[in-house]
Amino acid sequence: MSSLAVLLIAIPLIAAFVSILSKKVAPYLLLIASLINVILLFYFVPDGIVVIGGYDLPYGINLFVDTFSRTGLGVVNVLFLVIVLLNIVEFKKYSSVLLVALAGLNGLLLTGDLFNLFVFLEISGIAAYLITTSNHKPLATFRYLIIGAVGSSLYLFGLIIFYGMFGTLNLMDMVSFIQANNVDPSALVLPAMLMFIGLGVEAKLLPFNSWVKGVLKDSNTLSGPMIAAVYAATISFVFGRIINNLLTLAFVGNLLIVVLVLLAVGIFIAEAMAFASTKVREILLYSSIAQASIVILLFVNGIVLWAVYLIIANALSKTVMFLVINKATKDHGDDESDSLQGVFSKNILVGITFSVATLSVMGLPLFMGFVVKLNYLTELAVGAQWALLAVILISSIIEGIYFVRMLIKLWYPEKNEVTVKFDLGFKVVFVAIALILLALGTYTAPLNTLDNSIDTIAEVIDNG
Amino acid sequence: MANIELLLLFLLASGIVSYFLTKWKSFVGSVFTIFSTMFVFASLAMYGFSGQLDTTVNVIPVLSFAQTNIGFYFAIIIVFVYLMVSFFHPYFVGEYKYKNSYNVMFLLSLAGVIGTFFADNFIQLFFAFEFIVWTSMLLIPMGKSKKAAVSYYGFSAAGSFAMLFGILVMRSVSGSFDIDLGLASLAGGQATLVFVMFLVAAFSKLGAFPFHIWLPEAHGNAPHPFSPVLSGALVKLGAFVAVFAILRIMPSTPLIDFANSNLPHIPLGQYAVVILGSLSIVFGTLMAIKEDDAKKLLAYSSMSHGGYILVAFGIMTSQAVAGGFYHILAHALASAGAFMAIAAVAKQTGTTKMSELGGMIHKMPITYIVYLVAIISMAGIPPMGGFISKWLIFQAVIDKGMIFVAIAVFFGSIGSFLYVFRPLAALFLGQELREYKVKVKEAPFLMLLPMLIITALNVYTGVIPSAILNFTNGMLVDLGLAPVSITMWDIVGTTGTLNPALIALVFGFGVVIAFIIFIVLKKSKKVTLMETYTAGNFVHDEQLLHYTKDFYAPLERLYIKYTTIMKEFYETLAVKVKEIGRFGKYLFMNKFIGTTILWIIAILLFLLVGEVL
Amino acid sequence: MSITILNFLIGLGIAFFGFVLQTSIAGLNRKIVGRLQKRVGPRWYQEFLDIFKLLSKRATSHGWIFDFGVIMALGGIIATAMFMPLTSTFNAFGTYDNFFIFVYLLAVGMLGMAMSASGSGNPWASIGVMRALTTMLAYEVPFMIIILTIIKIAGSSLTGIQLYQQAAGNNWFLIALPLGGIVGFISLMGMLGKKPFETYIAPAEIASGPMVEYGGKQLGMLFIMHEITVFIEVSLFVHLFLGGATNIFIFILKYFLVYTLANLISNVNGRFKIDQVVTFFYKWPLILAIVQAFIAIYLGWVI
Repeated sequence: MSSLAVLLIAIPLIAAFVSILSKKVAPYLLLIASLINVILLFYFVPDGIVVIGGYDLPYGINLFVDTFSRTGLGVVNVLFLVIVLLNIVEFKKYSSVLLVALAGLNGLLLTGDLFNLFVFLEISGIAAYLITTSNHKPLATFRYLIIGAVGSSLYLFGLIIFYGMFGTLNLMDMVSFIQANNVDPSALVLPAMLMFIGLGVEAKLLPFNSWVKGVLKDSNTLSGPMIAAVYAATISFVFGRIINNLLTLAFVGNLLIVVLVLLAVGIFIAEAMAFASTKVREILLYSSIAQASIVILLFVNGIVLWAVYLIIANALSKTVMFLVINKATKDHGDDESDSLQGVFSKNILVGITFSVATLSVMGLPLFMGFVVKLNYLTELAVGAQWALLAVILISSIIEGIYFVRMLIKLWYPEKNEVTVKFDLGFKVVFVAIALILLALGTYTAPLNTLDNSIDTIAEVIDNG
Repeated sequence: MANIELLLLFLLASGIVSYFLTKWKSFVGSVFTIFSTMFVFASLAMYGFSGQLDTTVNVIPVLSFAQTNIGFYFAIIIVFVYLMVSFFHPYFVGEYKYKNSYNVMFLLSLAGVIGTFFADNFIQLFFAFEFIVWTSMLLIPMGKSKKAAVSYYGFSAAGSFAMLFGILVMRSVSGSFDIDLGLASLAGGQATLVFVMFLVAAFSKLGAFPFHIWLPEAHGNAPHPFSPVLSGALVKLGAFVAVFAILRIMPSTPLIDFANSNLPHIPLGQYAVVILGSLSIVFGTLMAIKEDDAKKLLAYSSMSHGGYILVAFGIMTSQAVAGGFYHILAHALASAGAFMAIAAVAKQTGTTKMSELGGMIHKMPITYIVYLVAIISMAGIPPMGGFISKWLIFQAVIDKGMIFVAIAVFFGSIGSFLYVFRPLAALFLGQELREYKVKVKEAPFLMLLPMLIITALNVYTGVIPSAILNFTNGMLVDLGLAPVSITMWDIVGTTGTLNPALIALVFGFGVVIAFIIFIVLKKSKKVTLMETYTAGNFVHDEQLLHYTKDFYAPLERLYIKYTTIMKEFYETLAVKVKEIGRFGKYLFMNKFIGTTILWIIAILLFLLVGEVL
Repeated sequence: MSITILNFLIGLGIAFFGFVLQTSIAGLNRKIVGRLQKRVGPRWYQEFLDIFKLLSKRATSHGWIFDFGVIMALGGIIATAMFMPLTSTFNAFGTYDNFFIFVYLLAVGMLGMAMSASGSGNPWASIGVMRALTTMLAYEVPFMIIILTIIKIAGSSLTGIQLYQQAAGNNWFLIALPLGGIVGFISLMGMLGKKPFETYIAPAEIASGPMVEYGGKQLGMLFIMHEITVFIEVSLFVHLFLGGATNIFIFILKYFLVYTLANLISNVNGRFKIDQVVTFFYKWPLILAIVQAFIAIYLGWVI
């Protein structure tokens, strides 16, 4: 039964193939496949290493299920299902693409093999490019495609160098080899950096992320939350795992400083860019760039648990925010924050959930964001990273200011009435997510049950 | 026994109830809010003064509370202001855009207040602090301006994040978030760092120079019943943090000392606080003098009074600190009273601009008396509370022989006569303008009641301060200072003795004498306000006989061109951040794929070159 | 010390004495100034006649605040005067004659008058009040710096300050703090509203400012108030800088000299504009006051 994890990839992939045959059944297949995935994940898939193809490790392809990947899978699959449910009627023809995307994302989260990871990166990437075609901005999609390809090739390039050095593609194998032979970190600089940049492109780290703006600023209710929440969460999880196990071996001394400075500057500039924006979706996308940088920063500092929670909190909040704004933009035709003024005055409930999501991102108390922020800041302080702490706090002030400005505009009408109608489905999702954010912000016991060792690769290596 | 935890839960629950009640009928919901607030105040007042509040935690296991004298003193003042203001809700809340959330946020921020002052660890303190920030921030845009909330949030956030930084530094030293442990564990450079960080929090919350920009914005534009809360109550959070910073951390910086041995023995850090406090006093006074909006004027006066509190704490002698604590109470009462009076006027007339008002006294005499007593206290004139605290602070300043600080405190004190008189003359007195002759009437009883209670307390604090000073003496002892020596009637300062009750009595005696003189003389003939000396001109319009615009014009002219410097500084700062953002977009977010590639190559090259060298 | 009704009666007596003293001396001064200007001048009791005439006339009133302000003004000033020690041994309330009472209780009276004047609805009155308050802002700060120096040296009880100056080996503060004495006297001119700081009365300019609407008993009461105010201010100068007095005659003598000097200076001066008053006080008097305070407090050079 332990090999059930394979099904998380296989079912959507098979469904994708089947769905090509019939356009009619495709949406149903999508729903069923994603539902089955969620059920499988929560009830049947056990922890452990799944070896595929009968080869022993490290030669065979393997899937790695532990609390870390399970958390990632949980967030991604559930949010995926939710977003699909909300959009299935409108975006029927994207069913096959979405199935491929699901397979790719699950593969990314599960695989323990670095080359496989590249394959899944490409699969999910292709799906992502196709999803963004729903924006009807072909040029932006094209740019996304090119830059994404550059990113994955850089990753591949780095991987090839690693392979040349250590002769293995298996993550665990490679890590244990490096540790066992005390490889000089300076030898790892180039491949590690190539990998970092390659994944950084996908994780939208500044300055490798020029695709984000084009993709997200014209997003819709499908592509917006899909890219900003689901994809972002997946990439963050994968990136986190690789940083935490492999790249940290290279990130010492000056290189660590360079990486940290890169990330810190990224956080500040991203917040400043959001501050300089007036379109709501632009504000949101720059804010998520900043949050992604913070996540990676935490991983680099070894604060795994709170990085994971930050990913979750952001994924939840951004889902709500992008759904609300994209729906409003669709109905109203413009996402300039001045022209959307007072959009919530008729949609109190949606407004409250949106505000909750925003306040959570800002890290204000009573919501999940506060708990997460306080904890990761504490961890940074324990690690005596005062400069990073200062950068994050100063950026948070800027973040708070533009979010408050935005919230007030959205709540208080100026001249023209904005009428946006939200379906019941949307409202249910918003309320559910807002309640989760509220619950985890006030009752923190579930968050504290885990610790930094949720990523068990190091343990597995230690135990052979 | 009143349990703090239950009070918090009670407030959360009544917040929810008031949401639905207000949705149904705003009057009912608001009355419910009054009773909720009253319940909390009554519970605190009944058990708190004897230190019998129940701080055990039964329901929410992560919390823990402690009752300290200082925390309770702040809490009871602030909750009292909340209670008084809640009486205004039935008449105001109905007009607001989101009236149901108004009552909710009001009650929630009150919960935050209680959480702050009874917290026994910094995490809870910070939690409650931030909680107050966002709940109150959401209330502000229901008033006049939407921008006000943004600057309120910006400065509050800057303050609370600075405090968080300090807390985390402290945590890294002491290993726990416990307040007493943390403050006690600091030493050397870390103490200085935490001191500075906490001061940033204190200054930005108090709205003291150089973080004062938000005060007039937020206080002036907040909904009328919320301005008294902001100014009388929430600003005092800054004073609470200042107590931590100035009186409990005390970094070991060099003493400011002179050849003369009995002169300022004040550590450099505290001396800097005193100087900045002095600057707050002067700038707040000057800005208040030139302000046309009555609420903004009072907001600037809050800034100047925040300066007094900082000066008092910074001097660090028993008398000064007692004066500071007393000033917190006196200013809370005075400022709440004044703001509430202005709110009552605004309710009738729809404006707070002094140049648009006049002669309100004829229709609203009781409101006028409330305002009069409040400003007498604010200006530090006997027999009101403000005199006692200012007297104590003056004693301390003189005792330390701080000449330049003395210039500031005396300037602020005399200057306050100028600015508090401005609304008195322009808004309440003077010609009764035509548009207000008919429709304006005295505020309803429910609004007058809290105003009269505050007025009575303003007088009480100025006449019989011994009970309160006894309490603040307890706080002084907690801080390791000697108590101020008081008897039933006397306050003994280093340079003299004050008997406030005697002053009040003599004043009353004098007024009686004057009244007798007045009454035995021939009765006067009543004439209208328009029958005045006009140097032979025929003036037909009240407006023309009403001197109200640019009241202190000759004085303002002397400094008007310097008044926008700080505002411009912050505006420029915002513009600079925006420019960085635009520049970032230009650099990283442009249409050309090549740029991204260029960055990637540049970074790789940089690393490789670094590696080769 | 215990306060009995007797203390109040003594206080009232002092206030009344002050009124009589100042009104007589003001009358004398009118004569002196008259001689100075080659006139005969009125009789010395002319001021009394003016006041009693006003009190007996029927006047107009602009509403309750107009009357209430007058009562508050006179009441506040009487109360302030009640605390004033006449000599170093004679006062009404013992050591409660704290200096700050005089500055701030005086302000209640001023506030009452300002309130009443503004309540009259005449713009001249409001302008006058504005100027009065601005003038106050100007002269108080240098004055208070000097007071700070004195209190730092001798405590804040007026009796105590007198006794300090009378004690063997100590000089009058006018001599001990010469710069302070100069500043004190200039500030006294401002307080008394004597030229060149007469801006807030300026009869030819703003029709007597605050007083413009008054007549009859209200004006009479304000005259009484004015006389007592002058009594308080001049007495303060006598006690603070001239060593106070050991008996009532010395007090009257010193009082007469100070007031007359101020009056004489006033009569050879023009009038400042209001912003000139401010810039004047914040230039030399303030600098002198700071220098004096620095010398006395930080260097300890008190003659």
